[in-house]
Amino acid sequence: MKRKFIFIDDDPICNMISMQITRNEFPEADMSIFESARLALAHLEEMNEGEGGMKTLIFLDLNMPEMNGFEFLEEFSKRMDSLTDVEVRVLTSSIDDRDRIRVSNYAFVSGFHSKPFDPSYT
Amino acid sequence: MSYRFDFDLLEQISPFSFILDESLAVVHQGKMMDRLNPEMLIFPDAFLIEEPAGIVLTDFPSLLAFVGRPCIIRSRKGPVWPKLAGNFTFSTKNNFLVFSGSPKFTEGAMSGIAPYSSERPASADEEEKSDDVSDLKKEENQQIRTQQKFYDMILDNIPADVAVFNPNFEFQYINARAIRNPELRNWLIGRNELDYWRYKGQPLDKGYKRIEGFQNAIKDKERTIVEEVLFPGTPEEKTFWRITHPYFEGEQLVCLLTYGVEVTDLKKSNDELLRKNNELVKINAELDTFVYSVSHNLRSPLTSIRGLANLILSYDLSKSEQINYVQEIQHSIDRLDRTIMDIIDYSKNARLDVIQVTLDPEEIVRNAFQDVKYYNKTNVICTLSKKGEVAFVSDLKRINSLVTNLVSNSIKYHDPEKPDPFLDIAIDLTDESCKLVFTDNGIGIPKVKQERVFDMFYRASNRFQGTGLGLFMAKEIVKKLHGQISLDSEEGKGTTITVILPNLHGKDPKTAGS
Repeated sequence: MKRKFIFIDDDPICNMISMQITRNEFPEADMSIFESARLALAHLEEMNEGEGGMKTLIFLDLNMPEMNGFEFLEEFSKRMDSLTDVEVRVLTSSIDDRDRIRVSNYAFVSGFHSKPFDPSYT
Repeated sequence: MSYRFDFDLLEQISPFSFILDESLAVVHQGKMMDRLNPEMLIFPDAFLIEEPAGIVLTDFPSLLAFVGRPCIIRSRKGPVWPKLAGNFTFSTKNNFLVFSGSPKFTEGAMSGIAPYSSERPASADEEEKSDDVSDLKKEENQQIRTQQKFYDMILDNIPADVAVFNPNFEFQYINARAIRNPELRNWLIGRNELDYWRYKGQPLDKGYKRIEGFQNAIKDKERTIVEEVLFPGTPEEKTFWRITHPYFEGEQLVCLLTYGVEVTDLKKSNDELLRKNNELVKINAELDTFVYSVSHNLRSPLTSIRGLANLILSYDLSKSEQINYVQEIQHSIDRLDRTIMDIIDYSKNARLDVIQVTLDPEEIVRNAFQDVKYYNKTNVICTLSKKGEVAFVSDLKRINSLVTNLVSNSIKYHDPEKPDPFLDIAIDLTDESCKLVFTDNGIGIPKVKQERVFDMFYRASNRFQGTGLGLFMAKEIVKKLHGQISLDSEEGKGTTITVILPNLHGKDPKTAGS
């Protein structure tokens, strides 16, 4: 099954690193990068209507201006029903256990990883 | 032939009897008397003549006048001790006065007697039968008197107010430290706490509170503490603890031993400790949050640096790609450095005292305009207007930092869509305060984020990789200077930040801004 990676992070350097690694390690995969969680959410809603048959992995940063990772998770959970084959993995520089616990409340979150992005996180 | 008293016979006939010599010392007392008042040594110390009324015993002749007259004597130990009705007889042979009587029991009497062992040592019984009984008794009395003095000395000098109450809550014993006046002390024996407060002409609530303490001690069969505060709310405020130990024999309450100690200093340091502890708990929680935020914000550029270094090492990159990544590493290092510097500024602001100097806010603003020229590439038009010509005293470094901070925010978040980006600063200076109004037509802050923009590490916009400490620092500086800061902004239109700082000119440096 074809794979798609979505990176949501306000830090352009982090995104650049993730992009470079993905391009090298998973050349066959689709990739989208969003510096805003809100835009990513809008994109996911569109995807819901169209694309299918693709396993999507979302790598989500937590500490972001405008809409942060937790707000994204909350919104995302409301629209989750219609989305299959979508997993969310947190990619953060946070070392706060409280963040890890808070995130674990969302069943569709399948990982909590420390930056920078690494091929083993997929 | 020497006269010999048949003590045994006397005891059989009259167990409530005693014999006094010319010094009014007790040379012998009946077994029952011993039980009633074992430490009776000098008759007037132990007893009062209750009837006939108005008689004061001073010496042997004054007592001689009573020979043959019926009288009632009462123990000075209080009403729990039975009164004795009887009369004195005089023995001319050896100048002894002999009292023989019988007890007149009143309600509650006798219950206070139990703590003493009434058994006299067998040897004493033997000795009493010898010829020199009075001499021996005198010597024994002398020893007891010395001992009593010794214990009185201890009890009177112990740093506590000591009192013993009978089960009716009447005073049985009071040490001299508690009541200095011996007459009052004597008067109180047999009376209660309420009598005492009535005597002092003070409200009875303290008495009631103490009695409540007695009742609790009896109920719980445990030491109780009643706290009393004297002169509350004044610098002379003193705190006392009245501690009651109930003394039981089996289920029978015998007496209440109470003592009062001053705990003012203890209380003060205790309260202070409690307050400091609460403060520490709060500071600890804040520190915890602070450490997490700081470590996250320090780690963030570090993870970028690690990721970039991995890229360079792992992949076959073009020269231009490599240069690009190294430049990004430099940016991350700069950001890390800025964050560290901001945290140091924050710490300095929190720890260092306010240094008051006369300063010119206009000059500070102009310097700030100069400083931001480097990144004011889009040429945001900066203007300044000033009202008021009075001396302004405040902290130069802090105001510099505050103004530079707010000016650079306006430059950074200007709206590139607008043809005429501007920042206008209006200074309004009076004897009381300096008001600085920063107005720009930048990108503005959405309403939902406005209340959080002053939070530590909060970034409302993604346009710059800021540290998230700018407005937080501004708020902290203004707080330190006892000023106010407020924000009015509309997304897409612009932002107005108003700062009001107190003018410390002519104010006492000690009371201003510490």
